[in-house]
Amino acid sequence: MNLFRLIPEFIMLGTAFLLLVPELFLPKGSRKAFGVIGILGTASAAISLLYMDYGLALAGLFVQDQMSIYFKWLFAIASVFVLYIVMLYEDSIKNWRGEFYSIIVFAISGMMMLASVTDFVGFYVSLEFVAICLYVLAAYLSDSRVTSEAGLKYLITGALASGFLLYGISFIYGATGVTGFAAVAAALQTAEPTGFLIIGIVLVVMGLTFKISSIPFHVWSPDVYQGAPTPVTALLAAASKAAGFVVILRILFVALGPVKGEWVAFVAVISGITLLFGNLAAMPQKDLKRLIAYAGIGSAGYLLMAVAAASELGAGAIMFYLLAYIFGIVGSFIAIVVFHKAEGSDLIESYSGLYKRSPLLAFSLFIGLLSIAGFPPLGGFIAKFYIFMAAVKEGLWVLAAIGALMAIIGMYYFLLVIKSMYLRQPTNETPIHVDMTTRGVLYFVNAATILLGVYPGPVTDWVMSIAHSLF
Amino acid sequence: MEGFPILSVIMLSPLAAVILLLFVDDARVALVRGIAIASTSISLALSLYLLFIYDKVKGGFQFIEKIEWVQSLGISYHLGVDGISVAMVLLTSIVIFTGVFVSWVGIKHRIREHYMFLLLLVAGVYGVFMSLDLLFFFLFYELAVIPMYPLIGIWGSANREYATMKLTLYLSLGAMIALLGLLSLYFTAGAKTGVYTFDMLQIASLSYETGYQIKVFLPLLLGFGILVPLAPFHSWSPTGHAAAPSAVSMLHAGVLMKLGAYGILRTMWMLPDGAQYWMPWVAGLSLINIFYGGMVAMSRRDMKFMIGYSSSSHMGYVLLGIATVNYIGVNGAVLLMFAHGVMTALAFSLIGFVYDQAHTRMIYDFSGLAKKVPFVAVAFAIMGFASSGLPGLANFVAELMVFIGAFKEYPVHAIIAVFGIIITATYMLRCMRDVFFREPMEKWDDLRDASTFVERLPFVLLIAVLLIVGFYPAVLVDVINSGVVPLVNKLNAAQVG
Repeated sequence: MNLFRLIPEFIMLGTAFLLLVPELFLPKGSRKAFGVIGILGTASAAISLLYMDYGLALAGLFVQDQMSIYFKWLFAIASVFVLYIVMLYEDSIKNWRGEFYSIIVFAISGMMMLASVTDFVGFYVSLEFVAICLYVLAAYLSDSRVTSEAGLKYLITGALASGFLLYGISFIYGATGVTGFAAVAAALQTAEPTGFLIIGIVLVVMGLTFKISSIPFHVWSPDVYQGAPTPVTALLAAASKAAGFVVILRILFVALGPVKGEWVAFVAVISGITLLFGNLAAMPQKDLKRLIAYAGIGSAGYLLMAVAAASELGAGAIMFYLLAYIFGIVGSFIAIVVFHKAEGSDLIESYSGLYKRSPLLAFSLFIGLLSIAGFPPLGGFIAKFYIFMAAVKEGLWVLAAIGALMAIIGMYYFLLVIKSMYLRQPTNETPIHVDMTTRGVLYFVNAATILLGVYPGPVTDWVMSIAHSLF
Repeated sequence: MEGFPILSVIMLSPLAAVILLLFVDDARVALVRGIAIASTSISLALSLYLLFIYDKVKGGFQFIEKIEWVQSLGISYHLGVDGISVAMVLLTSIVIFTGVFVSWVGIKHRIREHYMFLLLLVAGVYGVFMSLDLLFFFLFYELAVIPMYPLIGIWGSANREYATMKLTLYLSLGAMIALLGLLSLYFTAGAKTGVYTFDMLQIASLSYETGYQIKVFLPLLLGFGILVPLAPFHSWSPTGHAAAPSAVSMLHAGVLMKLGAYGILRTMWMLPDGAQYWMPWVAGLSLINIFYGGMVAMSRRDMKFMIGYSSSSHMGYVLLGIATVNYIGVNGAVLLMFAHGVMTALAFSLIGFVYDQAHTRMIYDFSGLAKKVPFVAVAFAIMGFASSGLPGLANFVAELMVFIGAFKEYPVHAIIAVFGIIITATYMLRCMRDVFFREPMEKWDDLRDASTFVERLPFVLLIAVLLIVGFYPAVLVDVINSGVVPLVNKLNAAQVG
């Protein structure tokens, strides 16, 4: 019975429903236990991944292969840490705290489905499922004007991007007559690319940029990152971006792989503009979450650079980058949430002298942000290195040069945060208390980031073998 | 000692100290210093030992260690040293060992963190000089640059936040430019053999089309040149020197700038045709370094700025020596890298010693210090003589070799460059006269001389090295030569582009 291949998704869905029902009966109050249940559910889904065999399910709409397993691991990791961040954050949520946990688990289960889709129809359904969860989450603090605005912006841009996607998919269907990724690839192998197909490709690529927050559908991200509840920001940054890229790998590398000559230049241009815009716009930011949003746009530019390379090395680099990125984001956001609870501010200047008030928080931000910026010997450095390798190999010299220049800009704005934390003296000397569990989690995340940089061998070998199987 | 990973121990000993220091309480200053001294002593002792056990007759890369790191991409942890690296490793050990003592005197707050960053930086420097794998070469290079940011930003003097940002960004930009060149080399070499590897020995053993070499040499020259600093990319360096605390200036001018020159030497080794094509340009730019640096040094009133510009001027001689591509010129360049490293470390430690008490470094603020601080004055005089190339000190031998080498290849350049020495002598002697001689000033009556063991040790050690190498250069030149000969042979075999 090949439905067994969906067990991880079923476990996540089951956990989500399990969290949803008791919320109706319980009185208002702390829901930390929900977080623990969610984490346990995610952990069991992750364990079930170890026992998965490769193959199709749902009449060929669903595939379990090396890549889907890898990305499901990423989502499981992101889920555990995001749920933990919600536990730290939940005092700021007034109503329906239980549902907040539940919707996050729903969203993760949708992302897991996305990692396994093999068909444009299944892809669109899973994508919308995730999107609807995220629309709700982004606007969750309904009494806050900033959050409501952020949620609305997210919804409208998202709906527009979905329209682009659907329209593009219909063109591709028109050109090939099929919706399965493998079938589309087979049809394109022989057919001459027509104008309709190219319109389809352009529209699909543009629609996909929403999820990964790159040009042209990036406008939501600074407002949403800043305005949405912080755990949601972490979820968007860590997991949602990964979900966008697994889909890009499936659609561009597999379904549209035979016509890669048609989209490589287009993606390269998007990547270049995204790199320039994200990094340059990050420079003047005063709010740390907003800064990370712009930096995230910049990261999308780097990842697209690897997409434009359209090679095994590029695919491997994307997978490595996303893993390093998740740890960098999670380490930073746990620190941001704890700091916000104590200080009530996300402004970079309010972080001044943090090294004195809480060495661990400062260190976590130091490691997390510098990893994203690509400093050695952290995971993000190796990831960026691989992306440059992929670009240079395919001779994308202009893009690589832009990327190199923007890496320096990236160092600049992240060093401004480091400067505030380490070079300045605190205005308020009260130490910030960090509880034992959070300490443990932070040590773990920082260790993972450093380990990925110091000993990248096993993960690299793994992602490179996955990338090899893609082609 | 067969099988003892001497290179790894030299490099990892400061790194181990960093990890140990993570667990030490801030207040236990004596323990912090003890750990720093112990780890750098181990490195220094082993580097000296390395100098003597390195087989000069055999030459080539020795003490090779290789561990697979990322198999699918051909990355390995691959160390090895030739004659050039042996000299550079020794220089690094001397400078950091004395630097730890200079920081003992000069650094008064956040001592533990200071040593952690300092030792992290040094581990990176060792790594660059020892790496035979391009990825690790690049990784260590960045590791040597990044700790500069907190080191200058936290413990620096005036204008430190601006200086440290400028320095970090400039050097990282150089690294990124070099990275693109290195990656291109990786793929070109891989395409030739079918085996993609970052192994430098493998990459250097292949021959590439002349046109390709000329193209890819440029980003590497530019990237490493920024660190040298090759004019016109030098502006980060004097501001960085001026803002940095003494030990950091010592490392920065003494060792970090040599990373750039070392990178250029290694690039020449991998791309001999490209080197032949670009070296005349480097020779031309080196004159700008020598004269522009020297003239600006002459006009500076801040002693650290003066030494900072003087460093770029001296690095001009190094570049000129490298550009000659003959045995004596390149030997002279490497020896000058060593001698200048020691000399400039001495200069910054002395200026730092005075500045920590006087809180000014302006030449016109001082007069007649020799009466108050005779020991420092004598040490400063020796440094000044070394800097102006007086016989008996290491720099003389090195500069002489550079000039002899340069006369063969670029006689016009050489004749012009000799006048650079007069400029150096002018500002060094003038600075000595104004600061240490003439009438003593009352306000410096309570200036204290270097009197304790800890204060004197770095000065004595650095002067001793300058004298030993000055009187008996063979101790280093023999080793350096064993690294230079194969390099120059390979370059001479290349067609002139």
